[in-house]
Amino acid sequence: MAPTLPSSDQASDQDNWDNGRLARKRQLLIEIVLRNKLTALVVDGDTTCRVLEQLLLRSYGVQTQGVDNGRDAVALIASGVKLDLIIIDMILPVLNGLETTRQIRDMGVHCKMLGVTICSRESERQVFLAAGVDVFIEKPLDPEHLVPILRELDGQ
Amino acid sequence: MAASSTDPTQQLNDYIRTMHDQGILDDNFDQLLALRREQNPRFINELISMFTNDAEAYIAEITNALSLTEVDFSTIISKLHQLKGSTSGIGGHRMYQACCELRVAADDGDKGRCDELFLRVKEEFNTLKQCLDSISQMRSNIISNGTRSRRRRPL
Repeated sequence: MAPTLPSSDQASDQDNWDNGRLARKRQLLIEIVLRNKLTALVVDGDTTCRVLEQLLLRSYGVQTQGVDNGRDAVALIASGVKLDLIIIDMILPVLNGLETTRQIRDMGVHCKMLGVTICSRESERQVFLAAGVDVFIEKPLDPEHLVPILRELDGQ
Repeated sequence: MAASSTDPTQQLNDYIRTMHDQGILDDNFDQLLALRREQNPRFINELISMFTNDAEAYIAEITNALSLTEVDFSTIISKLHQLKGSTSGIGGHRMYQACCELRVAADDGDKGRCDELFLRVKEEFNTLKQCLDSISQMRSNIISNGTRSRRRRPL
């Protein structure tokens, strides 16, 4: 039997978990149905982060690819791949996230770009936005930030 | 029928709750558990394995960068960035906090403080790894028992 988390039947008020928060996360995972087939690219040098972000997107039916460095991201887009959404980290191997974002925008790509990164300073956030990302999100990417963006892209 | 304390699933849930209480895990681990319903049963175990392997590699690279006569703070910062990202994704709360403190020291170019705080990062990683390994083992046992139960069912 696959492990299960305590359901609302089993959890007591004395439970230290915030079951309301957990329930909301679960709800967000199944809440939306996309009418259109959206495509996305995840650009992250860390395997765990990249896999998690791709899985989250795929759980909503978004067709997703992943690359682990900025140069491959630029090359993929230059090859003509059409994307609705790009999720990009700020620090990347080979070609950093800021320069990658600038080059993607310089190619005339206008799709939604989310800068999803670990950040400690407001100045870094502003630099990333100035480079061309539309939205800045602190890692990890979560449904609460992603779902409204997917709805917008889906025209809902 | 109420789940008893010997029920493996309840034991796993209780263990995860304890790890939350101790600050070792946070809500981001819960998000993984919510995601896993969409995936194969071994998804969480595979992800844990991926995280610990990569984290060990990042720690080795930071160790090397700190050991140089001229400390390579640039490498420390970039590897720490990736380590922080994966740690936050897996829900390793205390380890993430330790990484944040080390990042400040690395930004300041303070080798002494980096050495001290890196020790803490490694300690928290060992704690987190033990926690995740325990969760992995418990889940493997539950999945195996579930598979054996299905095989015993009459056709």
